Amino acid sequence: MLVRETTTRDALAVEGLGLTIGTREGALPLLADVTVRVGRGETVGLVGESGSGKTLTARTALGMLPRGARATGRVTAAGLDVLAAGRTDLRDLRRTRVSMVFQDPRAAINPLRRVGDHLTEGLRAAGTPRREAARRAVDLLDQVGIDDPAGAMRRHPHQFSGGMLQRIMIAGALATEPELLLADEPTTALDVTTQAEVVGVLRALQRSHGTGLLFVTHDLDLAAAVCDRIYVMYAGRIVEEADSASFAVAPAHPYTRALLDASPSVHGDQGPLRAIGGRPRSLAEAPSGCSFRDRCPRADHDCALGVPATRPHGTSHVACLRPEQVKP
Amino acid sequence: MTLTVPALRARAARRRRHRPLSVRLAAAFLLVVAGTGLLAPLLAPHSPDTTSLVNALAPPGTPGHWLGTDSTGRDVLTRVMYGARLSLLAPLGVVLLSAALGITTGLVAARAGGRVDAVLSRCMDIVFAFPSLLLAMIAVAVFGPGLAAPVCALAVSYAPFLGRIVRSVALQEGARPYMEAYRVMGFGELWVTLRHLLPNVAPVLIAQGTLSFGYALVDLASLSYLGLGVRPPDADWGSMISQAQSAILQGAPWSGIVPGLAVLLTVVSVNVIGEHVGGSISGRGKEET
Amino acid sequence: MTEPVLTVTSLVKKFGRVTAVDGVSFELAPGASLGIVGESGSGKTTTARVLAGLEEPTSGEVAVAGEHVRGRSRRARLRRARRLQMIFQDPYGSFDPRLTVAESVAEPLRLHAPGPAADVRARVDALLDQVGLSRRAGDSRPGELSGGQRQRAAIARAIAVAPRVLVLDEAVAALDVSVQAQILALLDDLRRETGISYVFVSHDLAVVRHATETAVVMRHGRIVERGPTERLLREPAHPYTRLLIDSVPRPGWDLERLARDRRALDAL
Repeated sequence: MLVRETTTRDALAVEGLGLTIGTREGALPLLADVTVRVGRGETVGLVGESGSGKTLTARTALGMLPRGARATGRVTAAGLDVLAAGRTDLRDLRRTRVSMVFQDPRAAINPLRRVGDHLTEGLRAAGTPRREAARRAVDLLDQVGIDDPAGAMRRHPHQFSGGMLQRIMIAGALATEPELLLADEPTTALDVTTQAEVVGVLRALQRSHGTGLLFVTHDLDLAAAVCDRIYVMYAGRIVEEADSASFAVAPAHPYTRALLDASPSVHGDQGPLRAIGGRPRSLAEAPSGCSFRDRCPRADHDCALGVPATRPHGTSHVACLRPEQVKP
Repeated sequence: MTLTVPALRARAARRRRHRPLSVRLAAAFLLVVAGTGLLAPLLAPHSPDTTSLVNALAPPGTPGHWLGTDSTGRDVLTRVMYGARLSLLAPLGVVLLSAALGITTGLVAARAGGRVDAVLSRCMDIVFAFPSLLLAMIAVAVFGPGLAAPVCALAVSYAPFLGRIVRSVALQEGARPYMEAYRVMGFGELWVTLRHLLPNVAPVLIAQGTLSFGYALVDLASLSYLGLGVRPPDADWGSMISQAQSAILQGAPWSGIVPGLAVLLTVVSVNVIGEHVGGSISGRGKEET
Repeated sequence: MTEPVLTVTSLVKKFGRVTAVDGVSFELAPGASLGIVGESGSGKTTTARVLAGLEEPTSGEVAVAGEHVRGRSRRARLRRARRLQMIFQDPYGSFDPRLTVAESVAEPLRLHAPGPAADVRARVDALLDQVGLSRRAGDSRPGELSGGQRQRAAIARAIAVAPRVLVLDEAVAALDVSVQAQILALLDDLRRETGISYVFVSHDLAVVRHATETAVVMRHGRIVERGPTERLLREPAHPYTRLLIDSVPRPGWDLERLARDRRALDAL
């Protein structure tokens, strides 16, 4: 189900992105050779554990690099070369063409301002007249399922539950009809039933607006349920790209396989959990060659020789020397 | 076992954490002042109380009186050295007493909460609003001159500074899960407070304590200057400045300038150290996240 | 039928006018694991806190190993602590940042079973070894360890006094998937070796499915359904249990039906 539109440009194209940060001990690598593509109207998952660099990658699309970081490669978001862009272009990009939804809605909204002000801010900055902006905001609140949207405009963030506030944040993120929406663990702080609702709202709106969505999450099942395509990250690198249908059934990379084996599931038969030894690593701590080789049951000395290149494997792309071994 | 990157960095930072030159100079200065005060009988070139009208108002550089003499011919260097004793001891007393008072009040308020907290906090507000020098003067008026009354009065009036900080830090730290973890393990409130809460808020207290020391030194010097602190002929820097007034008018300012400089440099040194301690605390917080 | 190691009878906890826990009762057999499932505001965490003695119940009884535990006297505190311990969600925050892990693990030992320093140290080493921590990790401060290592340390500290019941409040929620599986395996091993019982409080149905045999589902302070965990998940009787299960993401997730079910349930 790979939706590849060749006629229009991608909402996001990250090509060979590398990121290092200068510390007093020297340069610390954070990301290496990350390639991620999000087509218009496409939903793409970026899955990984802590330290994998998934959030860093998403933030780079907005030009938000950590202080003192140096980036190599190419990042094009909504047609703008982000790494080469100046401050004005970036501000313009963030204001109108790329939006972000964060994990904790309460930390991402000014608690002293009314919801209406938050929603119309982006539109007003983009030059929309006040009345028109308010009309669009009410309309959006209605679309995300807020009762009495006109009344909600006058209320403050603390008067909403976490789930409702995240809907408002989604409405705000989509207010300027962006080409790309970055969602960083948007439902992790929410209850399961609320998560389902918020994801439903997010998908429905994203589809109707034709927005490209990069969905960053640690939750494999969620990514598989929500996304068209999924990238799996480990230690600052993309190790597998697969469409979500084949992702859970036929994982190609041993890490993806290990993650699935380690995740308890509610649906289906209950198999024993197989834990992966060790803990997730960041790029700086990763061994030479394949980053996963010190935790990989199939690794041998070939895996230490160099970082495996990404190559096609069935419907997936995988950075592993012997992915066929992991085929079930 | 491998360590996480932040942990490695924190370890490197700890190794690297050096004391800046200003802090080392300040510490050295305080050591010298404290040492000369302590060893004044051995080091001082003269007796602090010997007057000699012949030598009155000798300028600095006079052989035998390198920092000059005051209007009654007492050696300024000697008196500054002797003066260091009371000038340092009295503020130290204020700091220790106010710390004892403030920490107790703050901890009790934070851990007891509710009405106890409300009453203690209001009491602290009232004392806080009362000018410390005025309180000290009232104490002198009631209990008579001498150092004991103003030291106690200042201790009381400084206690809310520490008390408020202890209360807010203790509330913050007390909400951390480890405080509850200890309760689940069966430990009592007092034990948890003294063994876990207090040590974790201690760095803040040390920083605030050093700042109080500077305030106390200046306040006590002011009291002495007003003639309400140390009784003559005992030397302390404040009373020396006070007694130098007439000399200053006669064009011989050194007997006032030297103790004045001693006050100034001591307070600056203490504050520099206090700020350093405070700074390394906030640094510690950053490492741990 | 063996005597239950934990009996909770008609537990009620009110905060002012809000009733957080409303008539909760359950029993736990020795060596068994009971899940308490619910969303935020369901009262599951308050129930755990009452069990651990962090909150006094408004009414109702908690009996551990056949003995009612209540009150805050030193004696009551120690008796409860020897029988029942708790693991918190945040393994970093539940340690005094100044102490090494070994020092932290030694503390409950010194309180409940004082002995010569060498004996305590030997016990600590044995405990750390039992949870899979090296001596070197034991000599580190909590800030220098990973999340999984800290949770192992928290488990070592909790089982130091050999309690009969361990209450785990979202104990694996903050961990990465690969590490979470390790901790679940460790908890499994411990239960088999020591016969300790677990009260497993979690919002995560998948985790509860793997870690427990029986479970109760809480909503608005009440238990809405109880039974063997596997049966609960396969044939949920209460609409809320069904909604919880359907809300867990999977391919072909019907989000519109979920929204309808939720509205129908809220209208009840």
